[in-house]
Amino acid sequence: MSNNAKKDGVVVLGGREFNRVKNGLDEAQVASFIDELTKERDKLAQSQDHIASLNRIADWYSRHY
Amino acid sequence: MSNNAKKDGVVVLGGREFNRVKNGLDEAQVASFIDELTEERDKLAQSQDHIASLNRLAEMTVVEADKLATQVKTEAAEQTKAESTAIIDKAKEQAREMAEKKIAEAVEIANEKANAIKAKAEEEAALLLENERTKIRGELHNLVNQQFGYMLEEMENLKKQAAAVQADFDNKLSKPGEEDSTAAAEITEESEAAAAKIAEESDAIAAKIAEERDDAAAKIAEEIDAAAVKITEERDAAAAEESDTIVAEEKEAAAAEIAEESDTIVIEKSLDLSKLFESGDKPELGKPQWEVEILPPFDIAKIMEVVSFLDQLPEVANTEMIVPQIDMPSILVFLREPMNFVDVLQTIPAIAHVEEVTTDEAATNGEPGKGPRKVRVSLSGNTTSQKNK
Repeated sequence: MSNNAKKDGVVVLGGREFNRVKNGLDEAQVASFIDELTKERDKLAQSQDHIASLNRIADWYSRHY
Repeated sequence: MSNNAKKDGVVVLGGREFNRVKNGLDEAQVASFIDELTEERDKLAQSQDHIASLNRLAEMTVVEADKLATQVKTEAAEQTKAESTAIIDKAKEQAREMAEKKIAEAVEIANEKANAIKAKAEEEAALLLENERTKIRGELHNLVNQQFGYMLEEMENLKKQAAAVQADFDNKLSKPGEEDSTAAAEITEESEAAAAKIAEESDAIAAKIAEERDDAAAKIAEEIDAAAVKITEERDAAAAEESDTIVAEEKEAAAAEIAEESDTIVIEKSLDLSKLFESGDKPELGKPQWEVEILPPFDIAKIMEVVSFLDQLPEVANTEMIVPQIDMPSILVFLREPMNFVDVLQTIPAIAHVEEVTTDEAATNGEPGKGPRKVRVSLSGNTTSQKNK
């Protein structure tokens, strides 16, 4: 989910600041898309961490057995 | 990287369309951020695919490992079975060899023991035969001594009768005259009658000697048979068939030898008695030092035991059995050298009681020229076999 903390003329989405400009992109659409990408990235990163944990267990098991 | 295809009022970033609005977000910043996020996602997705490939490879490896393990396990089981069979066969062969070796050793030990038992049985058989031979020889000696004493007594009686006839004859010859022819005829008749009586008694005595000799021979044969049976039993218990064969041979040889010796002794003694009987002389034995009177009840076996015991003493030169028809039997003892005779008699198992006769007529102390010293003995045990000849 996007972080929508706002200053004057600045919008924060996904921890990144975006300036408001004349004739810019729709904030709601940009926020939704950034949110999807962030979720996919976090899910893959979580899976990667899970596999890394399994690898560490496998290494430990192979060393001891 | 953002896909920046643009339509009128619409911007496409990362494959997504965004509308332009009056107070919207900076397109360049949004595009940059979307590019970063897309790149990270794609990188992670690529890594995820690689891991999925590794997983599939790992699963295949596990399956192959399982197959390989099963195969190795099967081969190991077969190899183990083959090796165990070989070990069992080898162990059986070793056990068979050890058993054969042990059996051979046991047979060897058994043979050694059997040989030892056989040797021992042979020694015992020889000893037993020797003992029986000695015993029979002693009994035979005693029996002949007894018969010899009896014969001497009979001879003395005959001599007395002959002396009486001779005296009567001399008396009648000394009478004078016509009665001479009548007296001579009577004396001749009486002499002939006395001679016939003497001849008859001599024949009776000879027949009796022959009968007693036969009895002695029969007794010896019985004792030999008994000894042979005893030897056979002991041999059967102690040794095997070979021992029996050896004992039988020994027994036959010993029996033949004993029989031969017995016959020789009987014949020799008979010849001696015949010579004595013919000559009418008493053997030169000197004067007896002791006379042992045996009180009833009598047991001929115990009397013979006493005689045998005395004969075996080194101080005793000879013994003589006197068996009167009425009075109690006695043993005359001829000594080589002085000895404590009464004490020795008390040590004989067959004698229960010893009493020295100290009357005046008997107390001569064995001095030369006088009669023997007398002792009276009673035999041990309850005896019933009274054989008073």
